[in-house]
Amino acid sequence: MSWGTGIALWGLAGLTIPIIIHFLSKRKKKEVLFGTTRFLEPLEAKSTRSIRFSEWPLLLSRLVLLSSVILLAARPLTRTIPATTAYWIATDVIPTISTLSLSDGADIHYFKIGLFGHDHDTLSLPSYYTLIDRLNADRDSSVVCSHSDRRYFRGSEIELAAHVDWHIIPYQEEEFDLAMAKKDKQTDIEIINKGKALQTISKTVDPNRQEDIDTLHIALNIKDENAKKDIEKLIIELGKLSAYEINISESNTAWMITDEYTESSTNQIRWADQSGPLRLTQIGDQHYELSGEITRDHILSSNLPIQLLDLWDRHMLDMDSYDLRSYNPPKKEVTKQIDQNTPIKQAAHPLWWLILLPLWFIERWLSYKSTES
Amino acid sequence: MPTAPFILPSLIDTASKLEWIAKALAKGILLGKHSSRTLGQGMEFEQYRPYVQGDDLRQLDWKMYAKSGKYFIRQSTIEANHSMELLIDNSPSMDYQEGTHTKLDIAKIIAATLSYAILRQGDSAALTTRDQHIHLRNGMPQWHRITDRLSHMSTTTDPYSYAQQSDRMLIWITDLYDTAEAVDALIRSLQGPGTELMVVHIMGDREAELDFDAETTFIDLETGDRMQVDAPRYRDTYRERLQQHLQRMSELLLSHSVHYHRVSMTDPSPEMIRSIVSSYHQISMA
Repeated sequence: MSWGTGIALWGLAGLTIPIIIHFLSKRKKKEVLFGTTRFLEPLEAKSTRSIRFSEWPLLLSRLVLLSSVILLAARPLTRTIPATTAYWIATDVIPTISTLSLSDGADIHYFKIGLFGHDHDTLSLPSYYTLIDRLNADRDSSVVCSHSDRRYFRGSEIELAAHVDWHIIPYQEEEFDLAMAKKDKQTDIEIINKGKALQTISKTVDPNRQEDIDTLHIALNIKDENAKKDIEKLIIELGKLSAYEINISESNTAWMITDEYTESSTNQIRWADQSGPLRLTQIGDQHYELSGEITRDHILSSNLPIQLLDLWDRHMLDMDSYDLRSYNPPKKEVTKQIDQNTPIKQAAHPLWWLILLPLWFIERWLSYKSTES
Repeated sequence: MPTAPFILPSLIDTASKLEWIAKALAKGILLGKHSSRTLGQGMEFEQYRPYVQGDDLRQLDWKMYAKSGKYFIRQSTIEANHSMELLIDNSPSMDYQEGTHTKLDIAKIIAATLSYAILRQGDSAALTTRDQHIHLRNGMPQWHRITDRLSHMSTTTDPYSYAQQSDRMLIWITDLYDTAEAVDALIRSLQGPGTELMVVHIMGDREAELDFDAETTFIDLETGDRMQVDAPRYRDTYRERLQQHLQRMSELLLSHSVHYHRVSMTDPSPEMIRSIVSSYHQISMA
């Protein structure tokens, strides 16, 4: 519930006035000059109290009337879009499926995050935040049924404005052993995430397996030294999103992203936006180079998790003390993102003021009754 | 049938207004009555009886003697003037108000009307209150004296200063809230040879039924005591107690052969006056 003129709600404090008046006025008792009080007996003190409350309907009607006036003056805003729960079925999020499609029965929504495999149309995994973002465009809460854990979707945790129920549907098919493998691998990724600095990340990669691992070289021309470090983190985030293992080469200008779970050597990762700044070039049998110039605007216009953009904004360079997993973006940023999707609110119809008429009549009637008797 | 004027308290605050009201109310009881301006006994013929020694010679019917040659005394039912003394209890409890009138207002109107009726018939009337007294006289000037005194009358805590009289009809207009002992003493002091006493008891309907709200404070007009009472809850007990009191009073009055007539505090109407006059006639004819 939100209010057009919220300051009017302070007027609710004025509800104490009729209560005070009620109990003060009740103290005044009617007096009758009587011939003789010989045949009368004084009232017991005990029953005085119950009589004072005998006119509570009048007090109640006054309170209701007054609070209605105040609430109407505060102009309650109603949502034009009713609060609903959306049910979504995620077809899959594992790399064997090229796209994540979410269906609510009527529409099918596709989520892509700019990482494409060259042997599939898209080999991409959406950001959890992107997902939430889309789901919550016009809903209060969502239920997502998926074969995979929501961890595969996310970068780092953020505080969500809306509630999402995530149901995992067991997957029967053979190729989903991969999913299990991915889950095992997740621990490694977490180690990486817990690592303090980039150096730690490279240590977790077994040098002996280096040869077996299909690698993908991404070469970036970075002009700004600070921007370079952020891009390193960006790449790590991308790795987390897609459950890839990342090997950072010694070179300052190249990152190696390896997919050790895929037999195929033809996996490649590139920006979804083909017209984007990065260009992919094959430099060997299994080596590709992603090159280009990434600017802040490119990142912002991409479909990347919002907290990452925030990271980019803030140039968080102190990697030693930085834990990606516990990183919480400023709430301000998040709410701003949500506010854009907040349904349009509309003030209550002016005809609601007519409700005061019957309330007023009831109040007058009760008042008349109490003064008459 | 003349309809009663709607009598407002402001209509009885001067003697002339009170007289106007009394005349209007008395119309109903005077209607059809042949009032005689001539005083004296034996105007209405009843019977003849033979003259015996010792009879007043003035009562001899000389025409009858001329016809029959015997002495006859002419007799009449009206042997004497009816003397009415209005005794108004103007104690503070008579200030009890119900509707537009206090009990005292009603007492004033009754007294003014009855005295008008009695004086118009050629009888004589007197007025006694706790603090005032007008001697027995006849004629309309007496009525103006009474109404003037009535219109200025207010309540007082003084005791009655009543001198015992004889041969008169006493009408005591009261609320009967005195104690039984006081009433007994008063009746004893009033009763003399040839006196008849009639009590006109004024009692309000709401007063009789204790028709008041819960948590009403009752102020005793006599003592000034304040008492908060849950009237609806206490109603039955009150009625019972009041009934006991009235029962005691009625026994007391009966033991003294005093006639009792109760009027309510509704707007004084010709019917109300007529009912009083009717009881009055019953007593005076007896």
